[in-house]
Amino acid sequence: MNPVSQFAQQSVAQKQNWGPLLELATQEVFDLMVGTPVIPNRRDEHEPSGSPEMSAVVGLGEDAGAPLDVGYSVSSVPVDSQPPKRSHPHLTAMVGMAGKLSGVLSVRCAMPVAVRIASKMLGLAEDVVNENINDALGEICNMVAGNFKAKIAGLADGCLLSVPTVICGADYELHSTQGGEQVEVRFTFDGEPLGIFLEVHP
Amino acid sequence: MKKRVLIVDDSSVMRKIVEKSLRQAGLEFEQVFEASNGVEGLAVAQNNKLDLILSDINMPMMDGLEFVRSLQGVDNAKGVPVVMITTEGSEARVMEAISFGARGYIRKPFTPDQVREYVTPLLGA
Repeated sequence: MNPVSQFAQQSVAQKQNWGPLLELATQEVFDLMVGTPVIPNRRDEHEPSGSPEMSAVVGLGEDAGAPLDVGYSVSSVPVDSQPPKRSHPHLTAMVGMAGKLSGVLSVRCAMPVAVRIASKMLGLAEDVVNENINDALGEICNMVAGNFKAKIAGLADGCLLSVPTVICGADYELHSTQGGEQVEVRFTFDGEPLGIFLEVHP
Repeated sequence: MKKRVLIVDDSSVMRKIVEKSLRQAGLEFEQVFEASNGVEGLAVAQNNKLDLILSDINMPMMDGLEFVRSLQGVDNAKGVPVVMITTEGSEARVMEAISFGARGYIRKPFTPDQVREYVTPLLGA
């Protein structure tokens, strides 16, 4: 098998095993570097898309993959998907992954959540962390990506990370030009939604 | 005796967190220099006497591997312990840094205790 496609060709069932690892990787980063835990958002099986607030944060519509009675799921990434419009600023931090696994890991949350994360990371008041908000969320994304790939056998040495990119705004869309599959993990941080997404390119 | 440390990371947040972790670990420093990439780090190392260098690996302009390799040609940096602080789980990249003279690495995420355990023996503190 071509090593480049080795991880992309894993089945949905195999990738569902990545959900708990992504969840653990995220929890470790928040516990150690933020000092406030993220709580996995255990969705009710009768509430397949999660709360409207979470849908707005994660940028997914009603067809956002197979619902699970846990905080993670695997779904196809629709090309040119259009997230719902948001009424207030959100941030998406992204880190590219290249090598045996090709894709993008992203962290998505509302601006007040990102402000709180930066504040807690630096031990500073929320009203003085403005210039650090994007940087802080980018580093969270970077550490989650690195911590996640360290937990997958064969991936630590076979996948490089890009420097983080952060998008901020109330009205933006993320477009995937390659499709593929997406592992999604949903949390609450201080009671507010926060989503982690691993988009795996074919 | 208070020490002089250089922290090289493209993230200003991470530089502040590393400094905070050093202080939380009970280590005292006369001066903490910051650089956002290897090029800036080399300039600091050339012009200052340092006791410890902590460097990220994945940085723009000049990454941590090239930075550590280039430090070999800096007189001021001879004998100064270099520790990589990185998200990279890649043993290959870390081993490459060690082959260039790094003394070891701390993987992000980390605790102040991990920083202290690693850094204290290197400082002779």
